[in-house]
Amino acid sequence: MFAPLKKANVEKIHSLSLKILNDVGIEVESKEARTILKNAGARISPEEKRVYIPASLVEDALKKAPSSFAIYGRKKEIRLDFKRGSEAIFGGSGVPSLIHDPEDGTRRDAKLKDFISVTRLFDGLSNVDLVTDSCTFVDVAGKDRDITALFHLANNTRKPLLLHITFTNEEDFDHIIEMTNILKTNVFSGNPFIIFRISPMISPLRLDKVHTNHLIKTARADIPVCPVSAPQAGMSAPASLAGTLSMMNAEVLALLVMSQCANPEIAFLYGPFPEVTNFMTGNTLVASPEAFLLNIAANQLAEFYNLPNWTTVCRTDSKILDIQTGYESSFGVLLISLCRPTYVSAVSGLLESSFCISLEKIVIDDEIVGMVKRVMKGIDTGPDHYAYELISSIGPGGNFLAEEHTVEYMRKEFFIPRVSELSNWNKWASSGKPTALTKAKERVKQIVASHSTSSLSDSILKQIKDVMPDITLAVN
Amino acid sequence: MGRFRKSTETVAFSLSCFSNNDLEDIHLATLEILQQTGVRVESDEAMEIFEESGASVNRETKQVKISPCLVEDAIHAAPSSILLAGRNQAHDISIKSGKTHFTNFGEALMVLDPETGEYRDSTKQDVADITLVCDALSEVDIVWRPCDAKDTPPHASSAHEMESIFANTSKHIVHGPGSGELMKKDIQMGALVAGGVKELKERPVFSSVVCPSSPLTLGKNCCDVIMESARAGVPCIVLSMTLAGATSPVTLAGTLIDHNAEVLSGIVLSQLTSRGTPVIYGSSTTIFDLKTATTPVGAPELGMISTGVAKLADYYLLPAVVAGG
Repeated sequence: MFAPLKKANVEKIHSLSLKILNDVGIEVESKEARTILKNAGARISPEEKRVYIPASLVEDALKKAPSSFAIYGRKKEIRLDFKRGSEAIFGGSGVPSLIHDPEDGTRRDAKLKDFISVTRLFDGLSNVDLVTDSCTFVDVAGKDRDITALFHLANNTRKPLLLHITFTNEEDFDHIIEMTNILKTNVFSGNPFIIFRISPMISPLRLDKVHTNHLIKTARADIPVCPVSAPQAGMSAPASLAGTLSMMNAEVLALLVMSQCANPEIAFLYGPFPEVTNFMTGNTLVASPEAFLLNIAANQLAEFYNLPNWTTVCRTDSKILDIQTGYESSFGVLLISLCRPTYVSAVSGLLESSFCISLEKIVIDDEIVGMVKRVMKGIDTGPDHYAYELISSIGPGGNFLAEEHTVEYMRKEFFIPRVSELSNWNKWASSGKPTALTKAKERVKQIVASHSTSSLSDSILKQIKDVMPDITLAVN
Repeated sequence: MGRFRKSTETVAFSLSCFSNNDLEDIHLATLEILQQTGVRVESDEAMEIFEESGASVNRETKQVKISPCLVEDAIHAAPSSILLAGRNQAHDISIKSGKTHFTNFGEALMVLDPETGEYRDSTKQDVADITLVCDALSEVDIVWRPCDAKDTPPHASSAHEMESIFANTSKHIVHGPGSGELMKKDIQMGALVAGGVKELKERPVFSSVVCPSSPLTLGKNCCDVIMESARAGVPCIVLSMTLAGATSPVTLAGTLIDHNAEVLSGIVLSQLTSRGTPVIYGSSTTIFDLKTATTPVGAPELGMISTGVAKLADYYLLPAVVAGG
């Protein structure tokens, strides 16, 4: 198993995080949050809005945090177990505002129509277990974006969901909780079906007002949470990776304490998103080797706490669907998957440091995950797999093609690609020189056009419309 | 057992794919194959060497059955650390367990012309150009013959390639000459570069590479190059290229056993020829794609096999070279 940090280093990071929370503290903008933390035993300095969280409070939260939870799709059989050591769950992440046009390499603002296409694509791809809200859309008012996304997710896939709470203001957040309850009762047979990813932490060490209050309400509504700390090494965190990790971990632990104080039984995903600074250009890098290392180390910390976790790796800093996109994406997914995290955001379709989405990239990500899953399955070592008798009966100079054993195992042992191009030059040239990209384009068209999930019933639509008359339920 | 590395002491960042029990199972099954089924050895001289050392040889079928003690003795006799010298001493590399080096790979037959995009036969100029690029790239530690000099006379192309490689890099070189006769020429050229036959043995500025023919066959040329290399003290990479599903079992575990048997038989031959001579465990084994009848090297299974091979070689404390893709 990959492990960049030794156990002693992990323990050191843990103790430094406790020290940061107790001695340095975090700034908390929300009065309600400060009151909750104070009542739980944190020390407050009122002038500074600074909250000092004692180690005992953190340790207690870690003790109480559930080590596993499940969410469901429209059918109870579609169940995802967020549990360390069980099979990794794959899906997307991120909310870019731009969409890539594969024909001319340009990008434009994403629209609700695109969001729906991506959701249908996620529903149709076998390596997407969890469907996330893939992008923002320019044709719906910003404040209504999250709730509109929630509806169109539920309307276009049967799979369990994750929603980034990004643009909703405080007054409107109750509507999201209300919509979630309607969907839970009417569509998901009363089962938990969604995780909210919320970003209250502004590194270094500050909790904002709006999103912290969202987090509190989410926890109270008993919706599983994955709050984000996204420190940027060299800018909003130390340039040394170990320093970034200590601070990032302190931030995630503060988010855990915050969620737990609001609801002691809340299902919590350890899910930071550490990035690094490109000192040559000043922008953020999501796919550098250091960003990968930080994410892998974050996974080790979650392992240390026995908490289910979220990792974000299938990223590229490239702008288009080129070689850089291919190697950065596969590099990250393979590395993190070999560390056995709970969730891998690997089928995200993200380009341009996560500012842009591409449907074709989603299909290619699905292919990469298929390959990675094959590697994770490992080499089967049953007696029939060693095939001693077969080798011995074929002997020197024979061949194995026509053997029963080959026919029996070829589909089980070998990954069967969907878009990778494997034929030889002549065959390839005579069939129009297809590439993974041209094949991905075809696959996108085919899935978006033909794959469908039954839409929500009129009675559910009516309930939703009664509560939220402004919501866009249909697109032209 | 306890004869080989017991537990894999992992360095800070590494991957495990087999338990020690798995490695022992693979090793024992390999010993059984070598003893019961044996390998086909297509060189009279090699058969003689095997026979003299106590292997059971059938001259008619060319079947050579090698006892476990011969195999394990060869594994122990082969060095665990090997100097791969550069023409420039600054490029010297010592290959051993726990340290990874990188090389280009090669022996391509076709080139995508970087100027015209044309798909064409590779030439001596391509050999020179690619070598020069590899010489300049800081992450390339060893320069492998990148492609064939197909515009030179076939019987001399090997020498032409070595000439352009030596002239364009001062890093360590890997070259597969293709026959014992051509290996002799490589050795002559290497001795000239190193400053003599003795000097070449002390500071081998190139390694040879041979491929057994799967399944379980050491062809004449393969044997001859192994023996010539051993006599000259030039490191020899015994690199199997089996194809799971075609020339070895479709199951990856079975392929590893077949692969291991082939490579170990080559290592035994090298150690019987000259005990202690440097020899390197090699793999470019992948799968046979049964749909397109091609041999995809981008397949996830290639990486998995290479990982397995690296662990196996590490278990034997033998330096290894594996295909990365």
